[in-house]
Amino acid sequence: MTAIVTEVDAPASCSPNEHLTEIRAGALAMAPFVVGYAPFALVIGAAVAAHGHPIAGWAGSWLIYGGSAHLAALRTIDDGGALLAILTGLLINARLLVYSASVAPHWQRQPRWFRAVGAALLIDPTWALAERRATQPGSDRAQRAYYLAAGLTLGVGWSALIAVGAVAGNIVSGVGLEVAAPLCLISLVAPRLKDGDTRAAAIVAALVSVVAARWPAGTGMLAAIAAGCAGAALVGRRST
Amino acid sequence: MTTWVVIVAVGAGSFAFRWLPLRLHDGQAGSACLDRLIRRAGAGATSALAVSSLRDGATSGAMPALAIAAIVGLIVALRGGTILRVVVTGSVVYGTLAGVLSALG
Repeated sequence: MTAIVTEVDAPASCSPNEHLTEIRAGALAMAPFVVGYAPFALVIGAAVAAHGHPIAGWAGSWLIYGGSAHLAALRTIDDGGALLAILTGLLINARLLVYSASVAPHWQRQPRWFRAVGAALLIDPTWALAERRATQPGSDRAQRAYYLAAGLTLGVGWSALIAVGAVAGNIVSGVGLEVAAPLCLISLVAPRLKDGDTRAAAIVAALVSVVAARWPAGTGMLAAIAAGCAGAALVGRRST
Repeated sequence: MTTWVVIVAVGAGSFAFRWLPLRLHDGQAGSACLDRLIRRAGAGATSALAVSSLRDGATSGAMPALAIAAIVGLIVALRGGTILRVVVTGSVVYGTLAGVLSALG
């Protein structure tokens, strides 16, 4: 029997103390990601500085809110033109459809304003933390506080680091922060590996990600996701 | 002007990717099959991202040290370690191995 992680029933409100606890927990949970993504943000900052329009380039830190798409779009503008840059950025960010569909059941009781703001802050680490938080007990308001704290911690840290990178260039390269981001992602996927189907999806997707490493414009990621789903479906069919 | 057009267009499209599934899901219950598919896709995406970030990190760090640090981090995570414990443990392993490899190399 496949074990499916279910959302814990939660009341709508929480006490002020619980609210502050959730805010602190969300910010602390996101802090390692900010550290881990710092080298990448600095690289993007350097690309912003090298581009002819740094303010527009920096604005992507909030408007696009996705490092790979942001960097690819900036680099493609000069080589391939505006249309190709737009298509490249959108293809890379297409995985956001999966993330949004994934959190939709968890947020169906949340107010509309939160779903709009939460959507704007949805990216790999905020999605992963939202998924994990949804399996823990707590009110709807508590989950809102946790997610918004995590999302704003990432957003402020991310955009600030890009600005630092634009000003300071490559001075922090070689510090060794590059290991933090993959460790954060590993810590988020590990609890899901207890479920056979999900474990198959993660393993197959990881293998395809290695094979498709040089595929252009986010297609490798999409292929990895599709292959993971196919692998999990095969495992699920064999076990029934 | 071109840069602004690209940034705003990619931003608007990215927000649509983030918002539309939430909007379409409003008040509707999903099937168990769709729920499983989405969870598998999410796990696959996180796993693929972890691998690609490891690969990207290897351009500036020692790949063997990164790989071993990732394995140690995975073990700590599977045993219930928090994000902070996984990152600290893996980072210590990485720093130590990278230093040894650098001294030997």
